[in-house]
Amino acid sequence: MAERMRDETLALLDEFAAAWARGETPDPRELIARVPEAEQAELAKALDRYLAASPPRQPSEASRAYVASIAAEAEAAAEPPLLALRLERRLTRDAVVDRLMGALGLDPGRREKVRAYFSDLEVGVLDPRGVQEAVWEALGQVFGKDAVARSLLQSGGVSLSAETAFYRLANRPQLDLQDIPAAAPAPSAEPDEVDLLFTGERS
Amino acid sequence: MRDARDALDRELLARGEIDELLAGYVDEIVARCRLRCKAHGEDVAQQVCLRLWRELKEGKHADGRVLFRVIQYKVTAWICREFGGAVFEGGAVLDERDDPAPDDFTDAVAAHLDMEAFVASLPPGDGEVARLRMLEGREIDEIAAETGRARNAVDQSLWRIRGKLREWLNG
Repeated sequence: MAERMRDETLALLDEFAAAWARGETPDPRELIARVPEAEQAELAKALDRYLAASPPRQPSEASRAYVASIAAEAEAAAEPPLLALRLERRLTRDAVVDRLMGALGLDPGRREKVRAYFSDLEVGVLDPRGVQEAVWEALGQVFGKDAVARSLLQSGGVSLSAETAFYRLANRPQLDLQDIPAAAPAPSAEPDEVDLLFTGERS
Repeated sequence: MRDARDALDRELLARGEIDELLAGYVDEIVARCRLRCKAHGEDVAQQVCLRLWRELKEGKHADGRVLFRVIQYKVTAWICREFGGAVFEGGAVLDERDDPAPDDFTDAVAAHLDMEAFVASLPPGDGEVARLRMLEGREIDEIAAETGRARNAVDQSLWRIRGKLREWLNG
């Protein structure tokens, strides 16, 4: 590969190696930009192999912080616990809603509203702190009481934020969270029993 | 030093200290992604680290059958290729994502390529210069002072070392 690399280009490889050995993190693209185009691929390949050959590094505080952010993203991107539980049980969302309706003794006319609340709860955009005990008991009947408690415990609780929801989107847009529109205002109709069950208030 | 690092990697893996294990490779991963994917290097490096972290978390490499530095080398190459990055491997051996077993290429690159071995292979005079320059990152004037040589003699030594490094990396 390297027959085409001139001494000046090899000197850049040496410069990179010395900086790397000092524990610096030079950007190899800056070196490559300094050589003629015909030699760039060869230098890139040599640098790639040098990196594989170089002595191992001790993790820096910066690299530890980077991995911590990766871990946080991976955990946030994990499936929300209720959704994971439903998929594990091979239940459709409608099937769960039907059973919730029965367990809670709700009027069939409220079904769409229950479905909307349950959807928000299972994907982590509804604050679970407002969800009444009767709903958790009903979910326990559907999934198994221990299973619901365990899944919530293992995940550290249902995730809450819009940010978390965006993490789950493939190729999510890079949005400033301040730009995310506020939740739609509650319908003007009087809050009902379903609102109370899922939010704890007649909002 | 490599054997010690491999042993440490196995210990970290066995203890489940995957963040610490991965942190030791972040600089290399980012640099290699920058080389291969250029403007998208940082984004691709994030994908590489995310995948490695998840695999480690799932216990995928817990048996220690494959050295972690080989795994990370190979996963970096795969993901860079997925994102349209440069391929330095001849495109022959990186197709099976779920089996990061060593192969001829990764054996050669990740196991046999060792800068300490390269330095040890040099004649004593050049070896000392190479050690100071490429393993310790010393400036040329410092090397001259340390070895008691003229600056010009160090330059000539480095010229020979670079030529051998070029052949060695190519080999």
